[in-house]
Amino acid sequence: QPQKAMAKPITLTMQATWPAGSTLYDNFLMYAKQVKEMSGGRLIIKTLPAGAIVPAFEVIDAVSRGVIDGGHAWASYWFGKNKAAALFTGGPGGTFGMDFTDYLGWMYEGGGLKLYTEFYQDILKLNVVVFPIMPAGPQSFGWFKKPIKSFDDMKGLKMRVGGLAGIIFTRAGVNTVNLPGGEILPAAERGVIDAGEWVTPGEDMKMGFHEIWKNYYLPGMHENVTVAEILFNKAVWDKLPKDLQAIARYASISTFILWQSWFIKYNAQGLKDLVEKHGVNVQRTPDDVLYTFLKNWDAIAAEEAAKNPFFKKVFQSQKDYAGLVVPARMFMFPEYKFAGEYYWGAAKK
Amino acid sequence: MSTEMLGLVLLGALLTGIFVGFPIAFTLIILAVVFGYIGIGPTVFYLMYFNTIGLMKEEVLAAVPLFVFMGHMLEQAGLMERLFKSFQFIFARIRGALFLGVLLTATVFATATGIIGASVTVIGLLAAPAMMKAKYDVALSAGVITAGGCLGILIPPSVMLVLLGPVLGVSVVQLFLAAIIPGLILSGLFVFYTLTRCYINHDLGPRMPEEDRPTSMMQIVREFVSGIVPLGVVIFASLGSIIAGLATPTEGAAMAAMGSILLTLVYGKLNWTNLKMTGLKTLQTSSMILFLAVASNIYGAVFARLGTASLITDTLLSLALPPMGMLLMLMAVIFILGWPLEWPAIILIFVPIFFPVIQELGFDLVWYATLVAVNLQTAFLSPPVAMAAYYLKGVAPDWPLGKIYRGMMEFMILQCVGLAIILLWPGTALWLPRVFFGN
Amino acid sequence: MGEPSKELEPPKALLKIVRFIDTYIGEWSGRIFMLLIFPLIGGLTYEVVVRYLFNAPTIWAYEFAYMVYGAHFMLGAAYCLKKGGHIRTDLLYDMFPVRWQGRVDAVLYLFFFFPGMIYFFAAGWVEAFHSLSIMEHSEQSPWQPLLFPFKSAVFVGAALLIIQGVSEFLKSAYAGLRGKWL
Ligand code: NA
Ligand code: NA
Repeated sequence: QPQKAMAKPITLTMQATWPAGSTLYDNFLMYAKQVKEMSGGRLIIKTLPAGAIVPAFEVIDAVSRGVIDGGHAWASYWFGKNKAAALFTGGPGGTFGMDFTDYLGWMYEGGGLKLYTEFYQDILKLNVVVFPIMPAGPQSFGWFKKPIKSFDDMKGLKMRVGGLAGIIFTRAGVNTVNLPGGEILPAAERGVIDAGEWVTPGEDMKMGFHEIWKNYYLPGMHENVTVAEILFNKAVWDKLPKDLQAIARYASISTFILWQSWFIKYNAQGLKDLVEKHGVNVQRTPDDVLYTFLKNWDAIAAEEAAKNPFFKKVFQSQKDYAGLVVPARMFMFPEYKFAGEYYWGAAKK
Repeated sequence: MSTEMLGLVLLGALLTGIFVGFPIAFTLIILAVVFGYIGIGPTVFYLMYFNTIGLMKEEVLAAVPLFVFMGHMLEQAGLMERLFKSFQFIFARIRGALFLGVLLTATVFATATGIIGASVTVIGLLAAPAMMKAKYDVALSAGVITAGGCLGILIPPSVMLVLLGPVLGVSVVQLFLAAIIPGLILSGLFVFYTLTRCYINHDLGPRMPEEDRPTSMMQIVREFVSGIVPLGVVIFASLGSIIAGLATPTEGAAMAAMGSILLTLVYGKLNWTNLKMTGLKTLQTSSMILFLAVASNIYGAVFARLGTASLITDTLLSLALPPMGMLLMLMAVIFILGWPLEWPAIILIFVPIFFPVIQELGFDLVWYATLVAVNLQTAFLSPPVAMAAYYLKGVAPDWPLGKIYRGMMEFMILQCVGLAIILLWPGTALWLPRVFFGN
Repeated sequence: MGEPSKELEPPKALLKIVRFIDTYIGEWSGRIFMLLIFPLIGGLTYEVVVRYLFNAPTIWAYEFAYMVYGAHFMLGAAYCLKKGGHIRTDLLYDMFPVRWQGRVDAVLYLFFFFPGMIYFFAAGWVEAFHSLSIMEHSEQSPWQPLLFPFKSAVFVGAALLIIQGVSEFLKSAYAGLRGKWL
């Protein structure tokens, strides 16, 4: 239909909470590209980096007020508004042992997306529509000046930790600071901090942590499952034709899945380069560090659930879903390690 | 009219509006609101709010009032007079002694601050009264102070480089190292230019009158000890703790402010009247600077929201140019953008848009970042929207803005010479990072 | 031009309003809010001292710093206005006669200043009370202070600017009509 092709495309101006040079921003671009292709150019997402129109931490409020049509963000940035925000990124420990596939399952099969929407629209009174879009984990435990053998070595360290994880680490007895990405390295170089976590091997290498610290520990439990979001102003969303709404929604899922595969490869390469090119001492995080972290998270989550009914509701919903799926997957699925060890492990003949 | 074209009209309206003479902060805000309203509707009011609260959350900017306080407090302590008396004494036989003093102080001070406002303000407070008294040429004085003060944003620690690193995906530590030698080159150019001009035209920076010259070596030593050493201690307390990693720039600034109070106490000048005067002056100066920063953020945000920023870039990229030609072109664009826009707007909006081009052409990103930083530093010296001029005007209200602008223009040209040197010899930026990080 | 020079007393009510605003809004807001610099200096110095002498950093210093700094300059904007501290391009302005300076200022206050500031106030008010309605806390450190007081600084600062602006407008209008500053 020539008439249809002639129709003026709908352009949405959207802003990220990260700078344009960052890998996380590439996910935003991937999404915009998919939407454009799927809609045959009828829906154009104009991507802008953090700070282009509003500062990063004001993105969700700005989307709600219609200052921008949408945003590319991370729910934990808003957890000052309500701690339940952290759960929608797939909180600490998964939560309850879930991985990225289970998280997506909870969202679309376990009522998670409904709660996510209720959270923003009714609890935080924000005029936004949300979808999960970018798996950004499993995040590394972090970089350290000196090696750590057990949790005791963490005490007395000053560590850069972001968001909710900062509160959990503080509770566990670590001195935490939350510095924006660009300030971590100067602070590390000047000895203001002794340790820090950022994202994953590929991203951490891009930041240049290996230039200052040589001890790198993986995995962490603070953001082993962490997912970023795509936001739309609700009035803008409601005005979109139904088919474009569907495209915008399904593109968030295809971006999620394609991104995850790419991200694994990207971080695998990063880990390899850190060891082989930069001589980084990469080690597995001691189990007691991870357990200490999970125990402190459980305590904090229980306290929060006791005083925050919505947190409790989301937490319970995750627990119910994980309770069904996680034990079953542990039994049904062959252990990842099994064939992996056979082909690549130390036991390989 | 498309929103992009509306943005171009907005740019024109700003230049006109500013020359009418209404306070620039309010002019920026009303233009942003009116054009934003036409282009994007009533949400522009929230845009204004979000940019304001965002700037208020910039912890590192808390160093601005603190460094301002230090400058005003030391002024109350009478340290300024001592300091400049010392410089007059030490360099008295050289023409332009105070210029030399300012440039040396500025270069040293640049290692103590990462914020341009504080540098120009403190140095302005230190030097302007002494220069007026010594009948120095106003334009050249203003040029020396603003250009010297702007070194603070380039020579590490630098807020600009901290912001630029993540935008380009480059280690901030490498950027810090890369900026050191270019910073010293600029400082050297400024000294050479100023002293040469004073040598040619004796009226620009007259020699000190005979009675102001030292009569013995002891006198120089005494002036040095009482005038320069105490300030050195205060600056060392802030710079030392920042560089040694004992404190963040903001904490370092707070310690400098505390040091200035203690110093005033030691000089026997600490009383409630002095503290109150310092407090009030600090409030006025930092409100002026930071409220203007709020206004230019709002203006820049509307400019970006209208899409004019992208329009300009797309047009540029449609030109077919060889790599070096494209680089020169981008440098020229950043330079021109620096006239109406503030550096955070350029770093956050335009540098990312040019990023793919630079990557495609395979330029060294650390080198490119250094070029951008030096280039943006010239933006501070480019009237009429030149923050450095406003900072200086804030502390030297007797100097006409026209003369301040003229002095700045001369040093802006020197900056361009510095930029050309780094462009022709990339080693000036890349040598130090290579020494520390290899390759 | 050519007017008979008659020395008119400025209207009493006008003088009263202008003096009241200049004193109780412009001057006193400055005297009060300038005090914020002292806890800023003290708090951050305290942080550095306890961190190094007692290895016990505070959890509040970081957020305390930006909140105090943000409130300081925002609440001080009206004082700065009263002092004529907001920078302007005086190239042409200084060449105008007083009467024209007053006219330009009065018109621009009316059309450039008040509309922008009133909306600034409104947006600040709506956002601060939205923040209060969801009991929004900060997310930037484990301290997590309530954000409402900090966010209030925007509309309070704007309100002070508007009130001080009324005085500035009256002074400009007077200069525009009578050819001398009040
Ligand atoms: Na510096
Ligand atoms: Na400029």
